Amino acid sequence: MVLQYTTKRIIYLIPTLFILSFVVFTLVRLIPGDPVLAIAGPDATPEVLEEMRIALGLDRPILIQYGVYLKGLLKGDLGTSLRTHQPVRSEIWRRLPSTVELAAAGMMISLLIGISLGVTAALRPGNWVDASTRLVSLLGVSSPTFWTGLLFVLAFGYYWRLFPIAGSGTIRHLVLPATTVSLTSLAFITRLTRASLMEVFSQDYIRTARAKGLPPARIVIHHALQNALIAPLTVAGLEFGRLVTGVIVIETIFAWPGIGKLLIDAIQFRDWPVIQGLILTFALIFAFVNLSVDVIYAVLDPRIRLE
Amino acid sequence: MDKTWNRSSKIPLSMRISLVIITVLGLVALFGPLLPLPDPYAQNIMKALKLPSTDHWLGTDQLGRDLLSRIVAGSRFSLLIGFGAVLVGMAIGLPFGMLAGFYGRGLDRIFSWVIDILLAFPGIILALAIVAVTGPGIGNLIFAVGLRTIPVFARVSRAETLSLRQRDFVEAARALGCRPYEIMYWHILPNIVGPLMIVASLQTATAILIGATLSFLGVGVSPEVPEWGSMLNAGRPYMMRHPHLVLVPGCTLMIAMMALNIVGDYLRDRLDPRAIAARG
Amino acid sequence: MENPDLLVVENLKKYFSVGGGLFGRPTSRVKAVDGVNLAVRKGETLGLVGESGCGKTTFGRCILRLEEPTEGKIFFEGENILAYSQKRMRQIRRDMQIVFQDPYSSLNPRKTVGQIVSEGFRVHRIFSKRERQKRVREMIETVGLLPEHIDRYPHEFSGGQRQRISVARALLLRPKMIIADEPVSSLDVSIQAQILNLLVQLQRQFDLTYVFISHDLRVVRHISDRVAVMYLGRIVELSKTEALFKRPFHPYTEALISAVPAPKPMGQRERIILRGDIPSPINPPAGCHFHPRCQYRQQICTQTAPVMEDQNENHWVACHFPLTPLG
Repeated sequence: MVLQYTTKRIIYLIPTLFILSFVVFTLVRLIPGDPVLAIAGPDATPEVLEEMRIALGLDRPILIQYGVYLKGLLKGDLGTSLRTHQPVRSEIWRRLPSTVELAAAGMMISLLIGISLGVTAALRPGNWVDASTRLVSLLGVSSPTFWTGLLFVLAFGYYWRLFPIAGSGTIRHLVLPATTVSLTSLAFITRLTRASLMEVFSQDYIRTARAKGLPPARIVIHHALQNALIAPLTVAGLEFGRLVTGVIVIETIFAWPGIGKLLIDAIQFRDWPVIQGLILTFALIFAFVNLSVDVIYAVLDPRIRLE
Repeated sequence: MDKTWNRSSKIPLSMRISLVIITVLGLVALFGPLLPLPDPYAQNIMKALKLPSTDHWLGTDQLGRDLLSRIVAGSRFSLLIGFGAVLVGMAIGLPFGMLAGFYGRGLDRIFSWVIDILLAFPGIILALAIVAVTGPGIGNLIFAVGLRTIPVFARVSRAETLSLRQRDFVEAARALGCRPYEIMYWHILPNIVGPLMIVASLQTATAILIGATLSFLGVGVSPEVPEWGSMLNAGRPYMMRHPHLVLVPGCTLMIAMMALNIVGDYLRDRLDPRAIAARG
Repeated sequence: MENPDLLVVENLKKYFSVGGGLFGRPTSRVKAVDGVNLAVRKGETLGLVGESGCGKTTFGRCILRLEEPTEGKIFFEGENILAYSQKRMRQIRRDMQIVFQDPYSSLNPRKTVGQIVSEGFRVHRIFSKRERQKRVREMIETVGLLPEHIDRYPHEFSGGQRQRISVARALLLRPKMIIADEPVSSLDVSIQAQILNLLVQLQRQFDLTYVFISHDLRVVRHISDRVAVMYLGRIVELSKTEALFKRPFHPYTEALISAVPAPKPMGQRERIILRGDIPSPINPPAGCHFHPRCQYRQQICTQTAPVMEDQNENHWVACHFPLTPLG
């Protein structure tokens, strides 16, 4: 049953992926004016321009070139960086683990702290923990990631030199970037857990449990949490988009050597093969994450499978 | 089943403060150039990196430009990006979603397909791709951010149209001989406007945020433009010793975002029947 | 001689496709209307009764082409309107209107009463602004509302008043026929009487023909000249009102009538409880649709669908074993 659902979803995904790769591929050709001139700059020699034209595949008609590109894609070849002349694939592959490390740490922090805070706030609505949690949540949602990142750099990198603010390597390097990444999601998850839990609390079957005299803690753990966690789980998929944005910004601020920083550098240097490769990578990971969330959701909620 | 203002409710303090903030922001953006402030673009190296003083209420930046006037000028750009992006989103998303919801079937399938493509890019990747193609500049930025808001408006329009299409008054209009475009314009559109405004208010905040983020990353507005995110980026090299360079634009941005979010949330809780149901 | 029938429906069928496999191919069909033949005479009120899901609402909508029939013909004033173009259809729509059941969803919440009622004029682009205002005003008063209501919004009115507004809207173009789809079912009983009386009065005043759809037998009996009973997409009985109620020929009609509480102590019939639930219109039973629940069924009922036959002076029944007075 679940397998059928998963297969169906994958089949629906394939045409989208094709279109995606076509869109990404066409991007270079959309640059106003002569793309090669825009990339190489006004004082490039004709030979360099011609070289670049061939490298970017702009010398042949679009469909043929797309075919070549697609063939390369399926073999795993993403082209060569215009800047470093290294294969794009290896550039990405080298940096991917750092980003994954950052993202995973951030997600974990936001889930752990977010859910705990949400639960605490829901258990005692109205007291100072609840109110301050709500305030911090609002701040978290409203503050741009780059702003909090810079604040952290100032606070912990300069005034109280507790953590390093550039580069990677040790756990200490990870703390500031990961915390910054987690903040927006944390705020959101706290709010959501609190609201979700409070809604579950007001349901009749919880009141029955309470009337039976079960201690509140047990009620929370056994009955409420299971249902209340469905909402944050759904959110996990949505949060991924925010996570990607956060990661790109954080890597830039903290000089974290991941694919986010690579993308920004590539855009600034107009290194198109890298840009294209990275956009595809991000989109692919995103599609995969969405699929996984949907499948997990289908496993948890039998109603969806029957659709 | 219509939405009426609950006249007996009190408007909470946070909401009132937020409205004041937004009004101030709006006024400042509109009348900024008329205020007796120094030129935000005028450089004066002699007076660079000064702390707040009576001459310069918020201090000066690394090129000697008055920070207060740059903040004021920046508000124009932020609001321009916010409203511009939302306008783009609505102008394309609304008709698209409405047509898809109204006609259904084939058109609807194309709709879902295009929306899926737009939504296949996580976070700011799509916006980054666009600015990579077009280059920096505020027009390009508005377009890039606007592209991201299109699916939001399209989805809401479609959902609302779908539910409205079933209502009896639409059937009655058909029975009277109303033509399809008349039905959409006369009956459906006025009823979509409400929910759409709520979405618009929240999307404005998001749009400003994304615009600031892109500018911070150096791929948004052109460098000398006094946009808040861009100012933060420019101030980075100096922030250790001159933190006011980043604190000033950063706090402004944060306050503006908070105000917009509070107002947007309030509107949604009050007016959206689904949110009211979810409040429990 | 002028044809006394305003509306003639011939073998009307409306099937909905339901369900979809991987590629959206429909797997089954809902037979909402399954072969209806009916004629409505000019100036009469034809009541159409049946339980929920029997297809009467779908039938009403098909007549107006708010749903496109799958099969059959609909003759309005002698011409088959199913063959009409959109343009021609639009003109004919002025002659046939509808009043809906739900007073809360049948009026656009964002328009004033005046705008709602005058929509017909707007759509057909007739009459000057002043003329429109005059006629709207007259119509508002005719349905029992006040002129100052014209600039108000629907949410300021009660259910009964809203139905009056709906009626005003339907009447503005001076239609010849009105489909009333459960117009009083959502109203309080005391208000029901008011609206029914209004409908009767308007019929006389404007020389209207009504098709009155309802599941409430008492209301139908009160207002109809003739009654058609519908079950699972088919008409099972059709006759003058009193003839039907005093002496039903179809077992289903008999059961329906027995379920109505009678006010007079001696009028209380023995209640007939039908076996089973209403089968789904997706897979109606073979032969006579009613046979699984019929206490009088025989072998032939499971195989052959009965046709409408005149039992007694235009009292038509579709049954292999119509009821006799003694059983």
